[in-house]
Parts: sequence; structure tokens; C-alpha cells
Amino acid sequence: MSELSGKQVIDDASLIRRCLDGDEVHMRLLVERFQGVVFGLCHRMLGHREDAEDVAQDVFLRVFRSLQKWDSSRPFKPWLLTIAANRCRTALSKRRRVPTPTELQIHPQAGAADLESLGLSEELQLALSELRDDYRMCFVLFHQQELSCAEVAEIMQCPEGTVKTWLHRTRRKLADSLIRRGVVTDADFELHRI
Amino acid sequence: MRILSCTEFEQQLREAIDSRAAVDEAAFCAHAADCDDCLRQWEEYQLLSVAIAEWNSDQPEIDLVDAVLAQHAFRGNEEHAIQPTPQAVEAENIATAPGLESRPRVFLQTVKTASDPIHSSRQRYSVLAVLASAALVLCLIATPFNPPSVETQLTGRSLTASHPAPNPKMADDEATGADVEALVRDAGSAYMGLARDAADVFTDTVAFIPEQTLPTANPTNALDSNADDSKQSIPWGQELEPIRRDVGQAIDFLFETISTEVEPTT
Repeated sequence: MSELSGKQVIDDASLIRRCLDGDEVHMRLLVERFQGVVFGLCHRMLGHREDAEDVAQDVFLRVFRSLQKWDSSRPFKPWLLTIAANRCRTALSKRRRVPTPTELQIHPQAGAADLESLGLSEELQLALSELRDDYRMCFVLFHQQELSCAEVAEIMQCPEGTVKTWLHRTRRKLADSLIRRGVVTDADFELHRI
Repeated sequence: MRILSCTEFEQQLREAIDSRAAVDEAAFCAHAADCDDCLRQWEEYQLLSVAIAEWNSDQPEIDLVDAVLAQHAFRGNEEHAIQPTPQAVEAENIATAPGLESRPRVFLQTVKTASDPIHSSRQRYSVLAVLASAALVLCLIATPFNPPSVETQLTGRSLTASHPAPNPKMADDEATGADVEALVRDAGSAYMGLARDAADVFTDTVAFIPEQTLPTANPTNALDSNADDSKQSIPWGQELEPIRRDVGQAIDFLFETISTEVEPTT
């Protein structure tokens, strides 16, 4: 994150006030500060870099348009991620109408040789792309964005208990998928060693 | 070390996941070693812990700043060009106030949109549309007051029908008798039309000359001239009436002569 040179790090509320005044320098700073968060969510949800870039740009444009609606008494990041999550849902629904190839495709006939070329990260993303959108959103918000279950529930507009259920169900499915595809990590050796 | 039950194992593992708290690995491993179901859960937990850590570290770099701000400026200009918002009007007032040159650049951009090409062209087209509408209304109003021309009164035919424009293509064709005759007929019709137009203009001129009041016979006595209401009035239209009548008769004679010779059908 690159902040303004020669200035102290500004907090989110002050930054947004400056953006509301139309200060382009602080608008730039806002994008710099949160682009990783927004793009990370979009990339994990969509599984396609270019699509994620487009959606992330759209998210920031919508944020600038509706910045005055943000409640300054509440944290900014969940509000921002709510917009990002909604844009991802919209992009996914459009993709269903017009299918777009994703970067990681599921090949049922993939053999062991194919598996060797994928790292553990790609394997997890591949397994994640097979899940329902709400399961995937729940997992990404919790594990990638490191939000609490309550914050995830607020973003996804569902009860916190539902989020916990979805989260554990998603973890179970992902683990099953990884084991089914023969992914073995050092954790297994560590477990047996203990 | 206390041995966990299966219910405690599952509950504590769930809580550790939900709250991202650290787990007592020794206690969990001790229970998992004796329970296959709990061993499977523990393996899944460890597998996902490693996979998620690697997954989170595998995030591509991105720089959206320039693209986002460029699109924001573009869309802002587009929206303001269509309809200036109250904020833009307010910003214009602020920007034009003295001593506030350091106002935010985005607001100043919205102020500049009043003179951008889209806005100016729309204004121009609106003005043209208003002018065209006004001209149409004036034509509609003026049409009923257009007096009938002399030619219409005489012949009952429109002027355009009586003197068609000569066809220049015909002059290029090979000169035949019929073509020459048609050419002469067209020239005659055109001449008749011009003559009728001249008569119209002259008649209208005579008819619209107002009656003028001439000065008094003895202008030296101003008081007398003011007191005397009996001013000598000479109607100029009456003086020109003989000329108009003579010219009109000559033109009518010419018109009737040519029309009977050239246009036998009428």
C-alpha cells in the first residue's frame, strides 16, 4: 500500500471525507488502499483475472457515486465489500446467461500428470469454483477477507448461524474435493508424526 | 491432559474455526488417534489450514488506480453534460468565488462541462429547433393574409403553372421542329410570368402608398399653421392611379395576346 508521500497515514473516515469533497488525490489513495481487497474478492469469486478487473473497477465507480450513503459510524471495509459482493453476484448471473471460460477449468478426465502441474492454491481455487455462489462467497469473505461471521452475515444479508453452517459445509466439500483429487500435504505427515 | 469426547472435539474444532482461535493440537491429536470420524475431521482441518494459507499468499498484483479515476472522470463529465446537478451549480459558485482557486479538481471539471462539445451542440440544436418552429408559425399566420395576385384574379391559374422553367436539357438535344416550338413556348411562358410579377409589384406599390399630408401654403406663421386644422391633403395614390391603369392595360393586352397565341388550350 502506497500512502501519500510526506503525509501521515490517514484513517478511512478522514479519507472518505476528503473523497466526498472531490479531492482526486485522496480518491486515488482510496483506490490504492482497497484495490487489493476488492480485486481479491472479485478474482476469487469469478476465477478470471480480466473479469475481476472489470468488476473491481465497476465497484470503485459505484463506491464513488454512493459514497455519501456510507454511515461513518460503521467500518468502511464491510460496506465496500457488500458492494463488491453484489457486483460479483451480478457478474456471475450474467455469466450464466452468456458462458465465459474461466482460467481454471474442471476436467473430469484429468489424470495424475495434470494434477502435478497444479499447486495447492490452484487446487483449492479449482475446488472452490465448483461450489455454489453463496458457499464460495461465504468462504472467501471469511478466509480471504478475514471478516467475522457476523460481518459476513451482514454482507450476505443472512443470519449468522446460516453463515456458520455454510462455512463448515464449504470446508467439508473443499476437503473432500482435495482428498478426492489426491492432494497430499505436509500436514498429513505432521499428523502421523504426532 | 484431559481426553476430549467426540462432542467436545467437534464443538471445540468448530469454535476454533469460527473464531480463528488457536487449537490445542495435543488434545485434538490424542482424541483423533482413537476415533476415525474425528481423525477425518482433524485431517481435513489441517489440510485446509495449509491450503488456505497458500491460497491467500497466491494473490495476483493489481493496479486499478488510473483506470478507475479515468472512468470516474469520464462518467462524471458524461452525467454532468446531460444534466447539471445542484452540486455542480454550487461548485460553480464556489469556484468563481475569489480566493478559492485551490478547490478540488473534480468539482472544477464539472464546472468546465458547461462548455464541452456535447453540451454546446445540444444548446445549438435547441436554438435552431426553436427558430425553425417560430418560422413555421409565422408562415402559418401570414398565409391567410396573402392577397391574391393579379394573375390569379385574371386567369384563375397559379403563377407557377403558367410559366414553367425552361428545360436546359432540351437545348442540348438535337434541334428538331417540335423541340424548337416547345422551347419557344417555354420562353413565352417564362416571359409572361415575369410580366405578371412586374404588374403585381407595381400594383401593390401603388395600392400601399399612404396618403401624405403636404405642408401648409404659408409656413412662416407657425401659430397659424398650428391653429389651422384645414391642411391640404393630396392623395398620392390617386395621382399614380392613371399610370397604374395605363401600365395595367398594356400588360393585360400583352398577356391576353400571348396567351391566346401560345396557350391555345386555355
